[in-house]
Amino acid sequence: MEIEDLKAIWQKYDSKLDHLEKINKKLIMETLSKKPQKKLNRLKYRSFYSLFLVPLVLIVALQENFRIEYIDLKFVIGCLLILTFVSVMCYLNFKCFMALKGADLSNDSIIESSRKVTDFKRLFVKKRKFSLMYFPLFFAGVILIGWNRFHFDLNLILIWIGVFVVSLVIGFNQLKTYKSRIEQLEKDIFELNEYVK
Amino acid sequence: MDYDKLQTDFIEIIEDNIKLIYKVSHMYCDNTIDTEDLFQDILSNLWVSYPNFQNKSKVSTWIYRVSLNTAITWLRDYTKQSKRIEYTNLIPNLTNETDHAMDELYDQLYSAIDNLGKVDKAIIMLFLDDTPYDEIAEIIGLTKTNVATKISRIKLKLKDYLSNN
Repeated sequence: MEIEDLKAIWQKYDSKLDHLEKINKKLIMETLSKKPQKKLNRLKYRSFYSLFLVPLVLIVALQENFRIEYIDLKFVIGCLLILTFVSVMCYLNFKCFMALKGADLSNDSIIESSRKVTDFKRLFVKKRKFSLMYFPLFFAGVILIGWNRFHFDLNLILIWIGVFVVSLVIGFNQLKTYKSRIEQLEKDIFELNEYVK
Repeated sequence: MDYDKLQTDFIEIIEDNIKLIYKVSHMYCDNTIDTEDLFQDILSNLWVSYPNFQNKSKVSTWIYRVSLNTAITWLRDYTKQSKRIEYTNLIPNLTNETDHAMDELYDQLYSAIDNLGKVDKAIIMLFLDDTPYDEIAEIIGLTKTNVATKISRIKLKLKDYLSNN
């Protein structure tokens, strides 16, 4: 099949579409009343909420441990490990939010949109990679912060091991999605480079 | 302009350009549910930008731009899959009889184009729809000369794909 054949098929396809049914105006009106740009907005604001949510959850979860008698070297190291995680995640969430914030579907060119989306994907993948790799240190940080408060017996140790293993399994299950996203992202970057160089 | 008038005018424009939205939705999705979802998103985004559309460009240029931008920024893989949208039959069906031989050719055409990147896909679609080069340049964000170069490259990619498949 040659390009000219493709064009001929496309034209036939176009004529075929002349036989589309009349649009359902009622359904269209219903669609218009729904929240617009929903998918893009969802992603944009998820990054925005996460900016505040992650530190907030941590403050609520760990507030019991913030007592003078618990503060020692282990506690400080634990705090540093967790703060590093939270700071990097907040930074990446902020960048994700900013990448999509300026998206204007009616004025941006296709290349501009593609660049914004590729930037977002790049940051999103980076965020996932960081949380997967940093997870053991984050976990260690939580244990160190609560070290003086916990009463280490067999049950507690088993619970911690259980939580760690389950979280690890969940993380590994996400690797497949992560890999396919990386592959797609590499393709997108490659294509975009052809247009913006 | 009052809301009802705005909505009536908008629906009229959609009615006249439904083929275009139909093509973009099918071009960027490979299953019915996603196509329906994208179709809905395109309509919503067109509606949002409609009040600001002041005939500065052609209606088709505006519809192409919003539709293609929606498809390109439509990050299906990055949103949770569990919440599937309700199937609404929003996309109009074809009324003429199905020609199986022709349908197979359309499938071949789609799979050849599907092999391209997202921006390439947009360019070739505009080209196949006989959109003038300066309009393609405006929508994509390239110069007219670059559009011609890109189209030649995409043609080569398609030719390669078609000869290998």
